[in-house]
Amino acid sequence: MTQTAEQLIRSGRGDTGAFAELYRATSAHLFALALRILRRREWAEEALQEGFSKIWRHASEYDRQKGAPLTWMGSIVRNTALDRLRRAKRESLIDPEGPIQNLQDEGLGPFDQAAQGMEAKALQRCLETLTQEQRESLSLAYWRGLTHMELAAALKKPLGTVKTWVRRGLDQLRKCLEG
Amino acid sequence: MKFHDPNRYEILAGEYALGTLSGPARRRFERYMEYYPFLRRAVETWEARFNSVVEGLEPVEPPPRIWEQVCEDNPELRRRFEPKGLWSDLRIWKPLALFASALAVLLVVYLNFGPRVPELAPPSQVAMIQDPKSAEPAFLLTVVPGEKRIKVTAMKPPETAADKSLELWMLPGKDQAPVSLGLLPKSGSAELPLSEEKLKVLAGAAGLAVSLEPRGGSPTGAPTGPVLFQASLYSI
Repeated sequence: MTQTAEQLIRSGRGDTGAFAELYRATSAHLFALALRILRRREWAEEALQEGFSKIWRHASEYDRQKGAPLTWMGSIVRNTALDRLRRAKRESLIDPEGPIQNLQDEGLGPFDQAAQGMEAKALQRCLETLTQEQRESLSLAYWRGLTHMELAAALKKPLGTVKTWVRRGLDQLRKCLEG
Repeated sequence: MKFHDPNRYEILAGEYALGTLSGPARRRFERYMEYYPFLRRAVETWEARFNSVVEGLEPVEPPPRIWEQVCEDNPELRRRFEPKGLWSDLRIWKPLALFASALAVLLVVYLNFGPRVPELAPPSQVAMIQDPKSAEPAFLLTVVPGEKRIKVTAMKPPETAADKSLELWMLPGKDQAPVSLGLLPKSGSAELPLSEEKLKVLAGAAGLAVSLEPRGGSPTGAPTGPVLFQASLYSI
């Protein structure tokens, strides 16, 4: 078992020292994730703090069936960050149409640079089997928390077209990852 | 919603995990997830796939206040890592600390009146840090105010891994955060410099604590690892 998995499992049993070690080992990666999704430092800090509180309270639900510990914690932090993003959209703190103009400039970056672990490498390899549009739709949705509607606006394509890209992309990705 | 076809529900689960599913469709899917554990599992599988990218991100160190706030928000963590927790623990060690202080006084008397060290300035505060199990002295500390430093002698220090350090903290008082005084030597003796402010706080400090930290000391500015020792300071 990796050290991180052990720290997470011990945290689930209420071991506060293990949780402090877990925080030390993973907070910089998870902060990078929150920053990448939210872009505003104060929001990312908020999401990280809330995310780690959730990790502490839900650590007992983790088991290795649920993937690598960092990935599992990443899901919690990303979902917290996305909730923050949705709230900001509702409060019109950000215009969902607003930042989208420069999205394409970013390219497909997120997944490309990120491939390191075995799972990340498999994901990367399978993403390459997707069409450009499918890959781009998934990347934008992942990193910017865009809904189908927002994706359609961002990519200037009809809603139906974008939905199809996402669905076919997911379908192809699953078949490749399971195959 | 038809869930019998894996091609269908897998994609919905993927859209849910990705976040593109929104509005009523998202809420509907959440309700289904409560009834059908296999949908929850499908979402978790997608999340595990997507979020493996975290491993590859360039880490960014968050500010120390995040950890403090996480502790603040959770009672078990607050009790363990906040100064108040340390303070209440301190009382447990009082009898031991009294014993340690008696030893320390003897030692100071020896140092002052013993044969070989006539030029030694009288320390104004001393502390003996003891192994709570064996009651053997681990460190002896003397504060020499005129020289703005703490002299530390490792007597029988605990064995620590190469990637760990022992960090010395002063506990300014109830409800106040511990203040780092520096790292304890793994053997021999060391001098920890003291600023004017720290010297002032130390004069009225409630006690000392030693925590196990990653090599080089706590990354957050507050104790993060287990507290191995606590001791009181005695004015001579």
